[in-house]
Amino acid sequence: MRRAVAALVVTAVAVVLLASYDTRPPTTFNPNSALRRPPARATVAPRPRPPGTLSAKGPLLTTPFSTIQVQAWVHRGRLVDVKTLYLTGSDAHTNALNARAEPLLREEALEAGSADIDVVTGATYTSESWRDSLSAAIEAARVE
Amino acid sequence: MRGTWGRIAAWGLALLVPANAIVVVSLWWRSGGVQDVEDTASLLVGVGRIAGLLGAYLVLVELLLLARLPVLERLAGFERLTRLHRLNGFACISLLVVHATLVTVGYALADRLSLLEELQKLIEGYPGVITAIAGLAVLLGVVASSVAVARRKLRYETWYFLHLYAYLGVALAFSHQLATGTDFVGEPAARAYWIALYVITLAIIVVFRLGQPLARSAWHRLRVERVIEEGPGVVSIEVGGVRLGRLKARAGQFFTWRFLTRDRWWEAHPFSLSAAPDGKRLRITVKGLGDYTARLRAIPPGTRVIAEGPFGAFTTAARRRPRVALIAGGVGITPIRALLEDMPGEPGDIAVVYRAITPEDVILRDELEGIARRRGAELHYVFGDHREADTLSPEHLKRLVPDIALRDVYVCGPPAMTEATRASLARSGVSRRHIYTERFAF
Repeated sequence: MRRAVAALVVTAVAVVLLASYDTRPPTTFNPNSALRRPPARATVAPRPRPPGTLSAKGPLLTTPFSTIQVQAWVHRGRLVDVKTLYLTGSDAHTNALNARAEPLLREEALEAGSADIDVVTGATYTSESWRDSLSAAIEAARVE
Repeated sequence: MRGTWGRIAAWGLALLVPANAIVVVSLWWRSGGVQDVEDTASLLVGVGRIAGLLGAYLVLVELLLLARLPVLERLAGFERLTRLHRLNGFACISLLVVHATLVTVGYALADRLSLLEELQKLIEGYPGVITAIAGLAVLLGVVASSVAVARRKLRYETWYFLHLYAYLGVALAFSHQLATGTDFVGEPAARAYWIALYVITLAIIVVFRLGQPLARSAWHRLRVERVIEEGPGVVSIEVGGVRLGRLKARAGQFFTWRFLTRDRWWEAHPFSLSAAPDGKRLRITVKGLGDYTARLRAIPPGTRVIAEGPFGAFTTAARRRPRVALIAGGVGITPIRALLEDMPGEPGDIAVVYRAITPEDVILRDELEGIARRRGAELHYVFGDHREADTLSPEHLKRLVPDIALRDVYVCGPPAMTEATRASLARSGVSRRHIYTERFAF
């Protein structure tokens, strides 16, 4: 019994320690990574851009895991096309997550016609920065 | 009619397992399990991902196999479920080890990092990975302890305690699945499905492994009535209560018993009923197994009891022929003793063969002989080890019970004795359909 209690106490302490472990995203990009180039993605055919469509690039934003830049095409204040210019992850797993999230973000934005979109679950950092870059791009295109 | 419904339920349940496995594979497929493969690294990661998903799914199947679901117990029986649990357990742990290995190696290749550096990166960068690694280590420990107990290198009590850690292992591994699983990114339906699998499993376990035994113990007011010394190292415990007939327990079945003493309430042990239940009390008889058995002698009458069960298809319901032989090895006599009381048959229809190492090892002798006399049953004692060439050989069995090939045969004893006897019976001309066994490993 005493041994069982001791085992349970040790277990509880171990679980608390494990659960409170804070993950910290990589702060620097891995210089050796084969993935500094944007991961191969199916090229997306551009959407129809009616005459008078204005275009601008958003800022290059860095999340703890990725670097992201988006270009927007705006027609009469409405987003008509968007292109992810730059989306590289710090590692292979991030790239896998980004590759899942990017098409969903693009689709959502085109449907909304704006940067008013929800984050993709499981890719929060990427979603937020992608949205911020898009939002800035749309603003820039509107004032052009 | 009931048979038809039973079969439908059996098929429904049996199909549920592969059906969900297909859903799990399709989650992986939809999220680019195959399409994303373009080099060695992505191939390893892709295979690692499906191994992880299937392993995590099979863990739930593993928990449910022994969740004491009444419908499963009825359809498959405790023994077959235990065998499936062992097979599935090995499949599970292999898949999870493959998952952890391939994902780490795959990403290490893609990132051009050493394995250790990649491991560090995964742990530091991704939430839940460190707990998942701890979870895998816990599950590996649980498997190791089960292998050790099967080889008798570990006490049952220790194994039981360690086995409870399996729940912790599963819980620790859960968070990384949703937090970092590529398959769940931007797929609310997939997430909801995955969470539902876990929640439903948890609910079933809480209801059938906690709620039902507790409620039943309270409703039947199960308490130890008497503790009887049957002989050196042999103890019988009578558990009394109310409405015990409603338990529908039968001779030959067993319960998992938990005696709520201060120091050992947390461990449960399976023991067969050693007397046919009469609606007023349930009796078990335990012989010198582990330090737990010694402690049973000290249980004060009045101690509360929680029992899970009844389990097992080792009952008179299996009978197909007019005559029957009951073969017991060692402490396996306890359910045989109960069956002897209950077994339908005229004088001369029932024969009992009781194998014990020495005459001193025979337990419940007076009761056995009393019932045998009353029922007109033959009672043969066989002394020696089942490994001795002639003990319970086909010739030996035929000498004891000449018409054994024409009888139903019930066998209960240690696993090795049960297997040896089963083989002897087959060679004596008893068809497999007429042999009923109950393993009695503890």
